[in-house]
Amino acid sequence: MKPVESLPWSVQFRRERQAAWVELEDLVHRCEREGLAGVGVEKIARLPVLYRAALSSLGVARASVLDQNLRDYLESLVARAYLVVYAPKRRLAEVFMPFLLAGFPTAVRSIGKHVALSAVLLVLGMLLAWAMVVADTDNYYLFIDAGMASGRDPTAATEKLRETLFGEGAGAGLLAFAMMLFTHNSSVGMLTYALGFVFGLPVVLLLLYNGMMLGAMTALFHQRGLAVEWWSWILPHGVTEILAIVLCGAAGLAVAQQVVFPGRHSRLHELALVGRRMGAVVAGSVVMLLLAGMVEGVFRQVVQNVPVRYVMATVFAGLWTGYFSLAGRVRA
Amino acid sequence: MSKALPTQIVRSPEGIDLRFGTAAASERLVALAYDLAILLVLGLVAGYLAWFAFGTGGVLLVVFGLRYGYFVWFETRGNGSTPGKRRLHLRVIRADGGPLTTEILLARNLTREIELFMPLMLLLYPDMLFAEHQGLVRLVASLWVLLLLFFPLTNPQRLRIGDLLAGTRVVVSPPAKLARDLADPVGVSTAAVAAAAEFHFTAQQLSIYGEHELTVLEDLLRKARAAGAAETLAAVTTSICRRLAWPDEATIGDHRLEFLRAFYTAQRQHLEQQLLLGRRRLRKDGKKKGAK
Repeated sequence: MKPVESLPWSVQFRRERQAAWVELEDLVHRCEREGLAGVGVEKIARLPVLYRAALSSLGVARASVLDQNLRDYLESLVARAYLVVYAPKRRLAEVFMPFLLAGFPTAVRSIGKHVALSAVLLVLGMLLAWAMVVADTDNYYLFIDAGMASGRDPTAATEKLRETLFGEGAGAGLLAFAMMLFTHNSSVGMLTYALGFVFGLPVVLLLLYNGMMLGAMTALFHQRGLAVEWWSWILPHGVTEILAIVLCGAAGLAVAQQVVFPGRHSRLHELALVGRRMGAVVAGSVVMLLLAGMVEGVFRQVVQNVPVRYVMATVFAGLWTGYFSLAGRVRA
Repeated sequence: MSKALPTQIVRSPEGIDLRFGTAAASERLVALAYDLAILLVLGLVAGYLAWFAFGTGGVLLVVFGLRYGYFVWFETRGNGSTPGKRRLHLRVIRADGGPLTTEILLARNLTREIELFMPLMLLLYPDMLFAEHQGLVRLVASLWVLLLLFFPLTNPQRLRIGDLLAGTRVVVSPPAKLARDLADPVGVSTAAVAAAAEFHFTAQQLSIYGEHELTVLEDLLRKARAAGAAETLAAVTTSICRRLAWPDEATIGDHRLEFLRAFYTAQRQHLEQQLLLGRRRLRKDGKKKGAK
C-alpha cells in the first residue's frame, strides 16, 4: 500500500481566490457602514464582479470543499454581499412624488369595495347615534364624553353652541391645534390598519364609533337650528379627514379579509401582498390627514364666513373625486 | 435548551440558495432597546429645539415624526437596518429576497403602534390607556395588548405582525472570520512541517473516518491553544491511533499536534478527492455512505 502524499485540492482553490474574497469582504463592510455613496465609484464597480466570483466559490465550496471554517466564511460573505449588491438605490424623496401621483390613488382604487363598506359603517354609526340622540337627548353622553365635548353638550345654551362654531383664531395656538388634530387622527388611522390583523372586528367598531361621535354632535346642532353653521364648520376639513379615516378603515378591512379568508395561494405570501398595498393606502391617508389638520386648525379658525367655508368644502370634494378616479390611470 | 431557529433561505437571481439565520427574540429586544434609547435622546433634543422655534405644535410634530418615521427612515437608508439593528448585525430582508421598497418598510412599521407603543404605554402608564375602565375589562384588554407584544414568540421565525403584513424577516448576518487553512503548510514553521512530513497514511487508513469526524477534528485543531486542550489532544490521538491500527503510538511522542495536523490534511485530501469523484462519506460507521 503506497502512502498518500499531497495537499487537499481546496488548498490551492483557496490560495487562488482568497485575495478576491478579502477585497469583497472589505468592500461589503464599508458599504454597510458608509453606504454606496461613501465608498466611491471605482470600488463600487468592482462589487458585482467580486460578488459573482464569491458566489461561484460558494457553489464549489458547498459541493466539494471540506474546510468548515472556509464554508461558513463564504456563506456569510456571500449573504452579506448579496444584500449590498441587490439593495434598492432609491431615496425616500424620489419615491414620494410618484407615490402621490400614481401609487396611492391606484392602491385606493384596488380596494373600492372595502372603501364602500368602510363608508357604509361610518354612516351607519352616524345615523344610529343621530336617531338615538333625537329620541333621547341624554343618549348624547353615550357617544361623547365631557372632555371631548368641551361645552358642546345638550345643557349648553344655543348661543354658546353657535360660539363654538365661530371661535376666532388665537394666533400662535393655531399650529399647535392643527398638529394636535393631525397627530391624533393619524394615530387612529394607523391603528385601524394594524387592527385589521386581529380579524377586523376592532376596525368595524372604530368606524362605527367615529360615525357615532359625528352623528351625536350633528343631532345636537340640528336640534338647535344650527344645521347650516354646523356643516360649514365640519365639512371644509371633514371632507378630507373623514375620507382619510374611511380609507384607513378600508385598509384595515382588506387586511382582515385576507387574514380570515386567505384565498388559494400561500397565506403568508398573499397577506404580505395585501399588507404592503394597504400600508401604502394608510401612508397616503396620513398625508391627507396632515392637509385636513391644517385646514381644520388654521383655515377654519381664520375664516368665519359660512359661504366661503362651503366653497372650500366643495373644492376639496371635487379635488378628491378627481384625484381618486383619474390620477395614476394614464401610466397604468 | 431552546431549539435552533430555522434558517431563512433566499434564492439569489444567480440561482444559488443563500442562507440567513433567523434573529433571536433576545437579539431583537436588545436592538430595539438601542433604538428606543436613540429615539429618546433624539426626541428630547429635537423636541426642545422645536419648542423654541415653533412652540407646542412643533413638539407634537417632532414626536409624531420620530415615533412613526424613525424606523422607516433608518430601515430605508440602511437597507433594512436601524442603528440598533446594525450593532447586533440584524437586518430586515424580504422573505423572497427581493429589494426592500419604501412601501414594504412602511407596511412593517405602521403596526408598531399596537405592537410596541401601546404595550409599552400599558406597562409604563396603564391609566393613560384605560382611564375609565377597571376590573375585568382592564384585565382582558391588558392581556390582549401584551399578547400582541409577545406575538413573535409564538412562531419559529420570530415574525411580528408587521413582518407578516409586509412579508419581511429579520435575520442575523454577523461577519464571519476567515481563519487560516489548517491543511496549508505556508506560514507553519519548517520544524513543524518536517515533523508532520514524518507521518504517512495509507488509503485504507484514510477510508475509516468521514466528513463529520473531519469537522470535529478541524474544530479541535483550531482550539488547540486553548486551556485544557492538551488532554483532549492526547485522548483523540490515542483513539485515532487505535482506530488506524497505528504501529506504535510512542513514535508520535511530543509531536501530537503535528500528527493530528498531518492526519487532518491527509484525511481531507482523501475525502475531497472522493467528493470530486462523486463519492461522499458522511461518517465513520459507513452506513450512510452513498454516491451523490
